[in-house]
Amino acid sequence: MIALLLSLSLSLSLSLSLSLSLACSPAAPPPATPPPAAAPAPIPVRLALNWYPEPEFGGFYQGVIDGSYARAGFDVELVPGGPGAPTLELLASGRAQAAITSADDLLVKREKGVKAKAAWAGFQLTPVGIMAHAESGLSSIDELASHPEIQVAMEIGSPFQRWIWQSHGLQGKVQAVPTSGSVASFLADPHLAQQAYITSEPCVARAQGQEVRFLWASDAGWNPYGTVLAVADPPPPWTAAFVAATQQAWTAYLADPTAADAELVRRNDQLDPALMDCIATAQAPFVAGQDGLGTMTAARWRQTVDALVTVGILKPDTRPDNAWISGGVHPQAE
Amino acid sequence: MAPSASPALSARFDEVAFRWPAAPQPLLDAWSLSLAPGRITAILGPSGCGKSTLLRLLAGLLQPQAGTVTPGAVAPGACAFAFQRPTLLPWRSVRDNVALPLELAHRPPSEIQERVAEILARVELSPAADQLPGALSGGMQMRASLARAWVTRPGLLLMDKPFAALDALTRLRMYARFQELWEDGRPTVVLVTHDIDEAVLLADRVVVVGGAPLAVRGEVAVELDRPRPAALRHDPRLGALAERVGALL
Amino acid sequence: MRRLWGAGPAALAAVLILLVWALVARQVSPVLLPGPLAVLQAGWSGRGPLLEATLHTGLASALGLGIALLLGLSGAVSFHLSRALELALYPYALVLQTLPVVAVAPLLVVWLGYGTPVAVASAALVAFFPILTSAHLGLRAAPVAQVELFGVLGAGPLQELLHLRVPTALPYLFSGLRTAGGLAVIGAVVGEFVGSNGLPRSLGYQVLYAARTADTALSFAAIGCAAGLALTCFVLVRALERRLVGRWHPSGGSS
Repeated sequence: MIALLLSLSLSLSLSLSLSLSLACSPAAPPPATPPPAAAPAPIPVRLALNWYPEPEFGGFYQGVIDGSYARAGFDVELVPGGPGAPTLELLASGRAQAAITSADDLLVKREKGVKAKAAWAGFQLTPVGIMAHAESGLSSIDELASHPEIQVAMEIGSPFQRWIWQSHGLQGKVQAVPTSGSVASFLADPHLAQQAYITSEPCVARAQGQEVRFLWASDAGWNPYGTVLAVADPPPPWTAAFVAATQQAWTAYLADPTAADAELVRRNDQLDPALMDCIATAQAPFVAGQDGLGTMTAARWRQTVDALVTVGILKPDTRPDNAWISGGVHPQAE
Repeated sequence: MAPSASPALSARFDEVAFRWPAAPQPLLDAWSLSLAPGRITAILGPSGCGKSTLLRLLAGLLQPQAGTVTPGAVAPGACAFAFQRPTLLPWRSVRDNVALPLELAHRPPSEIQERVAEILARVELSPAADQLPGALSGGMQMRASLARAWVTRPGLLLMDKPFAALDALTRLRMYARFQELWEDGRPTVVLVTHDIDEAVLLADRVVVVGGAPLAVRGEVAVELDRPRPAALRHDPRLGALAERVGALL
Repeated sequence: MRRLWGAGPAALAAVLILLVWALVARQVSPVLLPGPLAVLQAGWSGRGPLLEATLHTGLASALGLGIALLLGLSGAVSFHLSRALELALYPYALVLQTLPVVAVAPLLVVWLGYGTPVAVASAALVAFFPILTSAHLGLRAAPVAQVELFGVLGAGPLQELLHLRVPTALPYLFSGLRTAGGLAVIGAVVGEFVGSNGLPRSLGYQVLYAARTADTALSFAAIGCAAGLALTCFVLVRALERRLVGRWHPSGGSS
């Protein structure tokens, strides 16, 4: 009975200290001001990834293991994520100094008050699209309208889904069903198409022996930058150096991914090497695009903002140029 | 070292008024009754007239709207209550149940141990001391309940039909034990009962009550020597007393 | 011998269920519903990671259950001692119960970090309310006669709490714990669904990741491990219940 009283008081103090620690949790150490000439301390950067450790982040892992970041004066810690990883929130709260997101997600969060800016874009072409069975005969998203027998598993209500339905007149013609994120239903149902990322579902489906077609969202006019590197707004003074190091690391990765892939397998032992090869191959054209690795243009940002305004997610007076840092990698193309 | 017996307390009602919250009529209205210290007083009356309420007022479980009740809410251990049901705590052994009043009064463990062993021997429950109440018969539970009431050597003992649920044979044995226990300390006892024979056998004075508000219908003094064995039931003197009591009801 | 006889119906039921499962799985793609053998194989070949994941999820569930127990008990006692506190805070306890972890997961990740803290918080969240309500009910369940006894014996409110209310509440608390244990495991796994990045390895992460790569058999094997955790918790709670309550309360009988 005395023990019960003791545990009661213990619980009260426990809950008290728990709430106190939540309130006073220290943010990650702030980055140092630009170092003086000789022997500066490396700037710690926690980079929050928005998915599992996979080839879509290959260049970042390359930068860690081949010293690109270290030589530029950074001590980078890659924090893997998963579905729904709150990378921008981690950035905004100071728990991370850099975050990976997509351009549309960044714009939406900025409107909600999250202070972040895009510094670099890993995927020139958005990796989002719709995956269809090879037998369906589909070659573009438009054609869905003339195939009423096909249902599409989508993230219903997401900007991509809303924009595609609205701008391609799919309302009432194509049925959208919720997606579980798994390809299982897709594999079992020949009349199902599924929202997919080129870095993910198509390779998994192929590994299960199913031939698929990937209908590119960028072809259909939805093309926000992918694997966007975001930093706090206003940007810290080391941003340009970090972007330069990132560009260098990714260039090295694309030239020879062997070392980084080994590191990925080490960090994510559920990653099947065959799957990884498929992913690395599939993502290559999306990374480079037409403008070259890492580029961001005003035109593209405007296009993305316009699309989001069209579906009513952003206010019409949103200024695209506030969301990204220009002059990053290549001179601004118009 | 067993606790010394508390001196016999006086118990009395002085101009007490009591009414249950939703009742149309008061139960007690300017009610006065004095119970002689060191004596056993039995209170008899028709069912539901409020006899148990009198005990609860004496114990301090209820407060009167007017007047004074002595002792009312007094220091624990001096006033003991024997309920109609054994009311033993099911998770405690017989020994621990009997020890409860002494524990709550923060008596030293050695004292508790000694006193509990003593009283258990008195009520012949020593063999069952480590059993749980669930394993005991009704009679044994009642004995344990009585032992708990006596363990603090109270100055005032209030009993609410404690023998009513027992079979005839066990009841007779309990009368004997009760009288034995009473000899040690001779506390004031207020015994509420339905049983005329029981009242006359055990008490020094039988008070018959009834009506609403409650009133004393009469009293019968029982001046027989103690101890009074069970065989006394057949004694014509007892029969005469019982008749007088019955006439008052 | 008695024990074995009692295990008979359970074994029979298990065999029947396995048979039905295997039959149904034949009709359906193995990516949707793998058969029991496939699940066992996947579980065996992935036993290292699965064991590690089970350990971490088990730890998270236990921690979450512990926190829920402490908070639930102190809540119940506070409500018992102060009616004002009960009236003021009970609605918030109710809100906690209806809070879906999915909605607050990003918040938890930012506050507490990925993985185990989110799983612990999620487990505590779902296990808290059943413990609070069962303990609260139990504290008020003492029979009037016993409360009167303590009144007559001059016991203070703390004495009444320790010697009467708490023992009376134990059977109720245990009935709440029986469900709270399983809920804590579910809570931890759901927390891992939404808040884990694989470090450390956990069952929720395992389920999701395996499902994503269409390794449904492994996903099921991970679910099976979670079920095993819940079962273990149940058995432990029952054993403790029998020890503390079984001798004097019917609910603590053999099971």
